[in-house]
Amino acid sequence: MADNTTTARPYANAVYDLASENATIESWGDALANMAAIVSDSQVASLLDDPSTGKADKGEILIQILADKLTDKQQNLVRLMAENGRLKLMPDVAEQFEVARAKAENIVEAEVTSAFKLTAKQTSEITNTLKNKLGCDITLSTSVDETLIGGVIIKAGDTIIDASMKSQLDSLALSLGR
Amino acid sequence: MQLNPSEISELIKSRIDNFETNVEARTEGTIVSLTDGIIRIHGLADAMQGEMIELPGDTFAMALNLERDSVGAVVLGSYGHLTEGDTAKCTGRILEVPTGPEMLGRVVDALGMPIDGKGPIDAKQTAPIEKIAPGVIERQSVDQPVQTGLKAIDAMVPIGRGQRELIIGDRQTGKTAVAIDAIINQATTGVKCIYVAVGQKASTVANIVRKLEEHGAMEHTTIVAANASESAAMQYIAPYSGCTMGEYFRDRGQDALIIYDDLTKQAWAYRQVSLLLRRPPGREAYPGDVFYLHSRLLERASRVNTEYVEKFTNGEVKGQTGSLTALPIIETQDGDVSAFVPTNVISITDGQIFLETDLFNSGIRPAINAGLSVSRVGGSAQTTIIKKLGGGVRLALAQYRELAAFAQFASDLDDATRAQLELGERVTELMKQAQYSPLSIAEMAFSLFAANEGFLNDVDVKKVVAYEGAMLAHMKSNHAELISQINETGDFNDDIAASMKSALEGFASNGVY
Repeated sequence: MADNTTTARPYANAVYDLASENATIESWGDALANMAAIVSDSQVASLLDDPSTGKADKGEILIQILADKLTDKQQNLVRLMAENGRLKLMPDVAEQFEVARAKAENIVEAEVTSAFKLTAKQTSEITNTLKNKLGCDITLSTSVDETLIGGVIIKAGDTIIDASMKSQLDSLALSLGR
Repeated sequence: MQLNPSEISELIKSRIDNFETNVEARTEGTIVSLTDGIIRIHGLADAMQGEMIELPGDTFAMALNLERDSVGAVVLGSYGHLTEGDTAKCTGRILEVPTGPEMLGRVVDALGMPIDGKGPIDAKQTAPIEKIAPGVIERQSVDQPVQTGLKAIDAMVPIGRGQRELIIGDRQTGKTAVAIDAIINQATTGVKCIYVAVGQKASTVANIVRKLEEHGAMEHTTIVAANASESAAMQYIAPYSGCTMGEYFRDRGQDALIIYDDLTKQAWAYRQVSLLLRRPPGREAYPGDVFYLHSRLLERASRVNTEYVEKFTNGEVKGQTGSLTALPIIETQDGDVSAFVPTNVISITDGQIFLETDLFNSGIRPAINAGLSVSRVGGSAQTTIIKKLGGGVRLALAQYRELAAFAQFASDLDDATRAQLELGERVTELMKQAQYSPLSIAEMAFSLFAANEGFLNDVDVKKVVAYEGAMLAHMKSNHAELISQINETGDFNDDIAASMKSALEGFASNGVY
């Protein structure tokens, strides 16, 4: 949700700044991913919604679940977010943290959907082309969707490059229908 | 099974042949909420203000709120088929409508799509609906008249080409009638007309179309209709669409007249859109930029100089000025001109024609209040003859109003006062004019001349209208040459005055009414 992203951004930026100052980005990334997974769990989620549990208690419970996996500073983040009643935003914070990290490392995650399984040569060609076009490193993930009939759809952030047979047929249908 | 003409194999073949498949990078977002035609889209980081956003089902939206993590957009048309989670794509284009001479004679919606059942419009060009008005250097002063064919307006509140003249009044005071008469009178002047109907009943618009067709005025007119049943977004953009269609003629060295009927309803539609977009409400719950809403629209009505036209057409049209005259209409509630939107539009326009319920009900139609109606720039654009003769009429009416209020208490009046009152009564009668019957310059001149020279003094007040009708018929049949001379030149000198006087004397001695 748009509103959650806005609220989560200051936390993520603060965490990222702290992590990069102390060179603990890896550890913070893992910790945030863990916490995001726990908060998304339905039992934990219902606990966080429970009004009879105090704000501070919710934070302590989360810290106990992760036991000794959290450093002092990471525990402090949980306490701070608990105090502000923002524990449920943990997945958004984790996502924003990864965005900030990718931006700093100049990496864009691209998703390629194709009608057939791509060969290694095709994958590397797409990676290189995207690298030139977007001017940054690419981590490529691929998937197969037979309904595309032919071609590929490349999704990198908000940008979509749709070169699939399906979308071309769709637009032909639209133009003939006019 | 009915086949449509585009379904011929050859045509389909050529269209498939020429179909261009172009792969381009586009930004995509997801609809996260949909409320009353307002969508909030997550993503679309590089959307522009006012950009068209493509939605599933051949629907478009216009981006209005660009926020950090989301875009607020208003759906143009129906939104019943949209759901949360649908994808929204940027198109990279600002909203555009078709323009050109092909639009004349047609009834279109706010997006320029035909709604009159006369088939598709083969417009060669499109233009964005929001454009910046011409600057100071590109303008020229207003010095040519737009003849509305209504005596009361052309004599007392003249309108020039490129002027913005507000028509303001309560409901049922004949605001639209004035505008329609002005359109009908342009059949012979070559001024192209655009009538923008905002938030009106479809039956009202259908009536207007029929009346214009009856009077042969549809050929030079485009009607842009965003009826009451259409979405607020369409009602909000309709005036801008119409303005763009009018600018086509202005920029090519022609003259155009646009009527916004009415801007009150457009402001309501914009208020609805703004409140749903959660913009902070201000006075009367209008958003903060409701003044800019109207000022940027009316500023586009202008007269542009020859250099502008030449530059715009790449030298194809030389030595011609272009103009777009705007007649915005504002409906007041119970005569309250100090409400928010009326005061705004009064301050933006170059004058107003004030219509009153009391006058309308007492049979003075058009119900123009001569005291409150003004035209700030039209005087310099008036035809010489009307300017010379109209001044006396305006003065007579002003003195009459003052004396009429005073004379209610006094039973004994001196002769001068009585004469003034009687002239005033007759001039008031003379300013009445039936709907759909515009007058030429010469006809108007004869009526005004008769009042100025005292020919009405012997006519019974109740018979002034009949006198005028018979007198004009007499002049048209017996003095056609003089009439056409006045219509062509518009000049006024001692010779013309003398021949007009003798013509009127001739009618006075043997005319019947």
